Amino acid sequence: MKKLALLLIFILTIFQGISQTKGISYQAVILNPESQELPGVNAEGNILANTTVGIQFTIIDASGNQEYQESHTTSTDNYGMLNLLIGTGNPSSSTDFSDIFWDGTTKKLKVAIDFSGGSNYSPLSEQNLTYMPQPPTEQVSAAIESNAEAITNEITRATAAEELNAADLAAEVSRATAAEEAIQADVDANQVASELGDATLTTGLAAEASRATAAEEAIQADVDANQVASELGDVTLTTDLAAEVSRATAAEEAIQSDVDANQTASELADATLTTDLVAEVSRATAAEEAIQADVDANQTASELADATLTSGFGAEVLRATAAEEAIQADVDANQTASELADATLTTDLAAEVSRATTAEGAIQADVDANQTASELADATLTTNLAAEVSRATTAEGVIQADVDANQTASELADATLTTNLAAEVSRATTAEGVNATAISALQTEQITQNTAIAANTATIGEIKQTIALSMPSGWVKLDGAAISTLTSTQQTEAANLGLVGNLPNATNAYLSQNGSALGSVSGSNSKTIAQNNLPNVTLSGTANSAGNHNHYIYGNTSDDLSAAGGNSDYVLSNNDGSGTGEYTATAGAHTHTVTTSSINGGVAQQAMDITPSTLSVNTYIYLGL
Amino acid sequence: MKKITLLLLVLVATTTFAQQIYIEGGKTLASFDYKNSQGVRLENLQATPHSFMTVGYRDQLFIKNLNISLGTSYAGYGAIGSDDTVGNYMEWDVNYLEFNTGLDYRLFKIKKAHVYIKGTASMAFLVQGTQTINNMVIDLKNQDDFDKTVFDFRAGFGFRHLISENLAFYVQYMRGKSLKLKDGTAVTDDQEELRYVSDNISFGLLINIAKK
Repeated sequence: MKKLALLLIFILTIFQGISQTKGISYQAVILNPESQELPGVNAEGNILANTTVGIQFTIIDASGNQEYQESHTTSTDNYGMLNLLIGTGNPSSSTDFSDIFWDGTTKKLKVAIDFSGGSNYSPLSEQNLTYMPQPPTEQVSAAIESNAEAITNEITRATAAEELNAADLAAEVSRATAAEEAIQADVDANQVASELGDATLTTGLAAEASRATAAEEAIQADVDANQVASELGDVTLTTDLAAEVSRATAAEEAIQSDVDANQTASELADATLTTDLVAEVSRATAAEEAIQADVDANQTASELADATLTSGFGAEVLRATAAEEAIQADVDANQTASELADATLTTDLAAEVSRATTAEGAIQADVDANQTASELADATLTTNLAAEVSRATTAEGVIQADVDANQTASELADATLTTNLAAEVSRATTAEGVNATAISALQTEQITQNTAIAANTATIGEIKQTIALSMPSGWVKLDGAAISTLTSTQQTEAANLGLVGNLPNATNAYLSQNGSALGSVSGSNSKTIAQNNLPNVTLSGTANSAGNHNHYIYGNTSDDLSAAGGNSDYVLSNNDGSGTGEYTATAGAHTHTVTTSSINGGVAQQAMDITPSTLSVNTYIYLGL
Repeated sequence: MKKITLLLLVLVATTTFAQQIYIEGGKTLASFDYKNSQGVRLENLQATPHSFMTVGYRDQLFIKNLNISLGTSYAGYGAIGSDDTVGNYMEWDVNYLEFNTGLDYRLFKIKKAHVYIKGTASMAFLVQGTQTINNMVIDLKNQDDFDKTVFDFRAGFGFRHLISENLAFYVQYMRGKSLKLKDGTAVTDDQEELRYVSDNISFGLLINIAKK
C-alpha cells in the first residue's frame, strides 16, 4: 500500500487581477503524498498542514519557452492551504515579472513543489493562464477619462494641424502661383528682352544698313579700293552673326535643358511630395529656388549674351569704324576702284541685304521657336503644377478623411461611453429604487415588529401615558367607559384587576401609589380651606371706649377722695403708704366687642384650584387582546 | 492450525452428548490496540459497543468444581476514532464467527448461588466487516489486517444461580485481548501492530441435559 502512495492534489486556484498589486494570486490546498496508516485501509489524500514547502512558478509563453520563473518557501496553514502572490517570489530567471509581455496569447503556469521545503522541485501542475474580465477600476476610469481628454486634445491638435496644413498648402499654392507668375514674368521679361534685343538688333541693323548705305554712298567712291576690306568685313560680320546665332541656340538649348531639368526635378519632387508633404514642400521650395536661380542665371546669361552681342556689335561698329577710317584713308587711293566696283558692290549689297534679311528671318524664326519652347515649357510647368495641386488636394482629402474617421471613431467612443454611463446610471437608479423599496418595507416591518414587541412586552394592568393618537391592540383608554364594551378577554383581565362596572376615568387624575384601592380615583383638583388649614395668626385691635358701665373699686379707709381738676368727679388716691394700690373689683364679668376688618374683603369664600402645571396626555391600560 | 481446528470441530460435534448446554448473550465494549509502522498510536481511538451471542456445551472436567465448555459465538468488534490534524473520521465494525473453549472453576457457593472464575480461548474467522473513512465505506473482507484467523484469550468471573434442578442462569464479566492480527517485521523496521481489546458483560442460561 505504501509503495503505491499516490499523490492526489486538488488545487483551487484563483487568479485575480488586482490593480493595486502587480502579481497573480495563487491559492492551493496541499495534500500529503504520504497516506495515514490505519488498521485495514490507509487514509489517503490528507491535507499537509503546518508544513514548510517550496513552490516554484514558471510562466511559459505560447511557444513553450520559459518566460519567467520564481520560487517561494512558505508554510501551509492548519487546513493545508497556502496563499501566494506570483510576482513577489525569488526570481530564478533573468527576466523580471514586470517583463512578461501580456500580449493576449496563451500562456501557461507551471507549478512545481518540494514537500520538504527545499529546492528539489517535482512537477505539480501545468495549466493555461486565463484572463478574466474586470469591471473598470478607478484607475481604468481615470485612464478612460484621461484618454478621452487625450482624444479631445488629439482632435484639437489634428484640426489645428489640418488648418495649419491647409494654410500651408494655400500658402504653398499661393507661393507656387506667385513663383509661376514670377517665372512667367521672367519668361515674359526674357521674351520682351529678346524682342527688345531683336528690335535693337534690327534697329542696329537698320542703322547699320542706313549707315552702311550712307557709308556706301560715302565710300562709293572708295569702294573699289576698299572692296577687299569690305568683303573681309562682311565675312567677319557673317562669322559674328553665325557665332551669335550659335550662342543664342546654345543658350536656348541650355534654357530647354534647364526647363527639362526643372521638369524632372518637379516630377521627382512630386514623387517625394507623395511620401512626405513637408519634405516635398521643402524640396519644391528648393527646386523652385533652383529654378528661380536657373531662370535668374538664364536671365543673367541672356543679359550677358545681349551685353556681349551689344559689346560685339559696338566692337564691330568700332572695328567697322576703324575699317571705315582705314578704308577712308584708302578711299582716295581706291576711289577709282570703288567707283568701278560700285556696280559690283551694289549688286553685292543687294545680295548682302537679301542675305541679312534671310539671316534676320532665320534669327526671328529661332526666337519664335525659342518663344514656342518657352511657352511649351510654361504649359508643361502649368500642367505639372495643376497635377501637383490635384495630388496635394487628393492627399488633403485622404488626410481629411482620416481626421474625419478619427473624429467619427472618437464620437462613437464618446457615444458608447455615454450610453454605458447612462445604462450604469439607470442600473444604479433602479438598484437604488429597489433598495429604497426594500428599506421602506424593512422600516414598515420594523414598525410592525416594534408595535408587536410593544404589545407583547406589556403586562396586564400596565398603565402608559402617551400623546400618540392611537395605541396597539390591547391598550384601552381610561375614560370611564363601561367594562362591558371591552372584549371578553379584557373584561376577564379587568375583573382580575378588581375593576367593576366602569373603567377608571383618568381625566385630570394623576398616578399615585397612595394606598387607596387600585384603580380607584380619589381626591380633587380643588380645595376649600377649612379653619384648621389657616395659619395660627393673632389678631389685634383697639376696643371702643364708648358705652358706660360699672366697676367696683376696692380701697382702704385711709384713702380719700379728692376732687381733681376742679371737676365734679373724684379720684381715689392712696394715702396710707401701704398696699399695692386701689383697684376695681373682679366681680361683674362682662364683655367688650372688638370688631376687625374682613380678611377676605368681605366676599363669599371659593374653592381653590390646586392643579399643578399639566401636560395633556391620554392614559391607557393594557388589558390584553 | 489444522490440529486446533480439528479439535474444536470434535468438541462441537460432541455437543449432542453434552451434559449441559448454555445460551449466552451480551454486549462487548471493543477497541483496537494499534501502532503504526513508526510505533505511534492513534491519538484518538475510542471503544464502541457491540453484541455477541454464544451457544455451547459444558461439562465437568476432572474435579467437581472445574468445568470445561465448548461453544461457538457470533461476536462483533470495532472501534471509532478521529485525527484532528488531518481532519479524518474513521470507524471499524467487524463481525466474527468464533469457536471457543473455556474452563471455569467455582470458588464458593451460598445456597444456590455460585461464584466462579473463568478463562477462555477462541479462534475467530471474519464473517463481515466494514471500515469507514470520512464518507467512504470500505469492505474489509479480503483485507489482510482483518480477514484472518484471530486468536483471542479472555479471563473473568461470574455469578451463577440455580433456578431449578435443570436450569440455572448466570451473569459474567470477561476481559480479553487477541493475539496480534498484524505484526511488523524486523526486516523493514515495520512496527505496525493490531490487537483487539474487549470487555464483555453477558447473561446466560445453563440447561442440564444429563439424565440422572
